[in-house]
Amino acid sequence: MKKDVKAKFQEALELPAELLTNSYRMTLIDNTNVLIENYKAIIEYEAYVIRLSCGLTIFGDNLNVLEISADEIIIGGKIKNIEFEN
Amino acid sequence: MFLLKTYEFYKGYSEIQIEGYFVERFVNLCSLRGIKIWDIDKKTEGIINLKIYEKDLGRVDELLKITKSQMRIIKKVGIPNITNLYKKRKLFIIISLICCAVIYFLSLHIWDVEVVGNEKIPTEEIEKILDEEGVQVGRKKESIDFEKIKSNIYVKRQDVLWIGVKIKGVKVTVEILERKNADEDVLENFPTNIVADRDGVIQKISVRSGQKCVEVGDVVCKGDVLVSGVVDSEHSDPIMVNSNADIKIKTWYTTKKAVPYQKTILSKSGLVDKKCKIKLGNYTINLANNSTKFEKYDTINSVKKLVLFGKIETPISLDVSTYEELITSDVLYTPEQAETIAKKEVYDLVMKNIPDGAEVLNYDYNVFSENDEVIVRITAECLENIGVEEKISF
Repeated sequence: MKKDVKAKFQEALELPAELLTNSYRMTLIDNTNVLIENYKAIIEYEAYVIRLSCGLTIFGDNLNVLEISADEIIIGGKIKNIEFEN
Repeated sequence: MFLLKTYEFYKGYSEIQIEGYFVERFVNLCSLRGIKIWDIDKKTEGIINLKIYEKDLGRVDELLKITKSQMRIIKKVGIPNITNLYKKRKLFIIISLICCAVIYFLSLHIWDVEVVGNEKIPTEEIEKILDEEGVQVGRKKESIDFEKIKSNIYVKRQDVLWIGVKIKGVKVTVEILERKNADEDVLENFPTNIVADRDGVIQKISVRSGQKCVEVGDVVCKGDVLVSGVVDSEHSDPIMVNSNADIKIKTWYTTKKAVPYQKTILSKSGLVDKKCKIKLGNYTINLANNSTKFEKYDTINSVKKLVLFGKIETPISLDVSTYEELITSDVLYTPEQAETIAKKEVYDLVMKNIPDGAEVLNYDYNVFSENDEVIVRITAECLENIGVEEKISF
């Protein structure tokens, strides 16, 4: 019920979808940089995979976190594959 | 990106290594608590490298306890770290501050005065005037009123047309434009003759103004009038004009040189001996034994004075004596060899005598042999411009 109200409110005011709902926003630059807003937390971090609790898994080579803050993460490296859960 | 890097450097950051089982958790906690970390790099299982601001290092301890990991500082970068490094070395900082202060203090003063642009007025005279006006080495730049000095110089020296003063650092450049001598300018307005300034045979003469006095083929001597400024006229009195003409004459230059068949030659053996000594005023410090082992030698002395700021001479100087060994050898020339040597030497000699602008038409050699030497005489035939303007005196 609560979600519906939020969705309706967002539709009525034409606000960006990621603002009110719990969704994430991903910006890709080539296959070298990816910015994910609203990523929540890192579950797994290896040089070849980064798993985020928002439901994204990024596979690649030499992955490293260029910048991290409470709601943004920038991942650099050679991105090969992005997997979506749920 | 560059701005960000500069900001990071200004704030000071550390590159640290976190080792533990829950490094992901550490990263998450950092981001949750607002501790900014960047350039996170996973080396191997359980080890990450990351960068963190200097001021956040203290807050990390708590997180380390929670995640049961260990931290190691790899590198400290930035201005706060550099200042920390020198905090203990107080004397160093004090001396460097004193140095800065001394350099600043010295830069407020004049250390060099240069006069440029003067052709006729001796530099010493201008320097003397400037000295009287207060532009001296060691004076404070601000205390000098250049506008006042300029006007004073204009009053004192009538032959100065314009003065420009440029201050660049500790150097004052005084630029001077001289008033041109009045006589020189108006020579063109006076009636003049053209007079020969050397001997020769007239080869070509073309007169633009004036009365021609000589013809092609005439022999002229130094001082002869070639073109007269007094032009006769049938209808009126003679007119006085400023003569103008192009005159070419043929001249001959001869030189001779004798070369004996047997000659003793001094030549450099290539061995060089260098001796140095330092002079402090009248006191001399020899750095090595001052005599040389050579029997015959050339000595080249060079003195290097220690000069501060390119101007102030100190009494300290370095004297370097270079001894070059010479060896004597007797050479016996064949007549042909002696002749070629003599010809070359005599050619060089005659070329020195020929003035600039003269065109050498041809030259020939006369060779005489005497009992033990060869004499070569060269005659060079030249074509050159001639004629100097001379005021007609009444």
